[in-house]
Amino acid sequence: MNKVPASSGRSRLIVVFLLTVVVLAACGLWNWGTAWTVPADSGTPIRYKFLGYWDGAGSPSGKLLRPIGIAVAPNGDVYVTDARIRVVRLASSGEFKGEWGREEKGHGEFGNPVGITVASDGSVFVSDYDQDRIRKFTSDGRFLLSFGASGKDPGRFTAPAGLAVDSSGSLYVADFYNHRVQKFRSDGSFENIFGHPGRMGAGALHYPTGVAVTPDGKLLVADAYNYQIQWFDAEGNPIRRVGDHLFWLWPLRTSSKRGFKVPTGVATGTNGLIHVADSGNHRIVMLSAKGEYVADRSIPDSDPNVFSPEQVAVSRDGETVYATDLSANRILILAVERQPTHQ
Amino acid sequence: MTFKPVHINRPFGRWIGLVLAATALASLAAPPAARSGPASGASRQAVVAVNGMSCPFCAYGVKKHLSALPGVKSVQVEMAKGEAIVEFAPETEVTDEQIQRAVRAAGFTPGKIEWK
Repeated sequence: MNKVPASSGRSRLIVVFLLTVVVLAACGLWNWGTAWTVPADSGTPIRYKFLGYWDGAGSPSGKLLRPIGIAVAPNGDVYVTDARIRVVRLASSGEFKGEWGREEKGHGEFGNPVGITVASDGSVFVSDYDQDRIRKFTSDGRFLLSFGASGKDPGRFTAPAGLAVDSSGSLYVADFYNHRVQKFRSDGSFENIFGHPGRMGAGALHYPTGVAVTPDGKLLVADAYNYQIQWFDAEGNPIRRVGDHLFWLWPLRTSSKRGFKVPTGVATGTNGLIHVADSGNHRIVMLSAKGEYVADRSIPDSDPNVFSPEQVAVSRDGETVYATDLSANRILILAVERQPTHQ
Repeated sequence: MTFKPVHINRPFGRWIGLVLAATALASLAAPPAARSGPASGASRQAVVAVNGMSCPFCAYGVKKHLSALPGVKSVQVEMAKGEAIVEFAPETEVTDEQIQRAVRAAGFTPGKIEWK
């Protein structure tokens, strides 16, 4: 009887083990790439209606220049951050109402204001991408509070981007280079971290740029370079994600009802509809509260070399949508239009 | 951080995607070509090629990291041209490697650096 050398048996075991690992990894990756909740056509007769553009005319400092952050106040005013290193306040009609900020390091000053959000009491939070801090102002720009510093520890930032406030006044910050979202109390004290750096699995974030809070208190994250929108519960547990791609090399084309290409902004109102700034596809995408595809609208005359729109905001009732079109120095305004159904 | 869209029908597309992903990972893992050359004295402005800089958040990230280099007076990022223009104070000692490191920290692969 032939004897099998021990080393040969060990080699076979190693080969079998490696093959098993490869097969399991392939199955896992296959499943990961297809098992997400994918936006599907809900058949809802809702679409975007184009209302027009704003360019910030009337501002003494000049029209909007590369606007990026946008937020809607409870009274309907619209706040915008732009490359003139300022916050611009516009009425719901688009009329210029005021502005503040300049390039410096003082309390009411900025390095690069990017994210902006407005709390229910009208106070305005602004993220400073360059100075790694958050500033809080009254509705007319009076400085109230500053917090944060550069770094990776809790409460610190590396390029804070999109902001959102929940009904209790807590602030959520998309911490771009730290691949996470941080939650703060209204006084600026650190509360929690949502998500973790990664490319795979629930809760993994890769360069998040936008956040929004749903009417029922869930957090939406525009997980830009994982090409998806993720939902978290109030405790920070990941609960859902939408967007379909393969290994981030597969952004779907503009007509896609299944995925995004670098979704940088997200917003939602009391009607539950979710609006996504699908910047790499140069469009706004409307989703149902569950993440199903409802409609989309391409940005006219968009610059193919610059991803845009960057951020999106919505009126409290969810019926008017505002988006920053950085490459064209303008704000895009859309309405949610319900088409009559034919019996 | 940006990739051009590729449209291939499933299911074969997924396997081709695997190959593409492996290729991309391999290229990311490969060390960039060594470039050196101190820039000092009269060298005041560096034009740095940064490919794939279509997203403003990323472009601002490049600007942020380049601004942290010693002696930087200003950084201008041109997304459409795919380049960053860094102006240094006179007598600033900055090497190409420092610039490349800053671009990599911002999530990009640095390209050619031209001094003016």
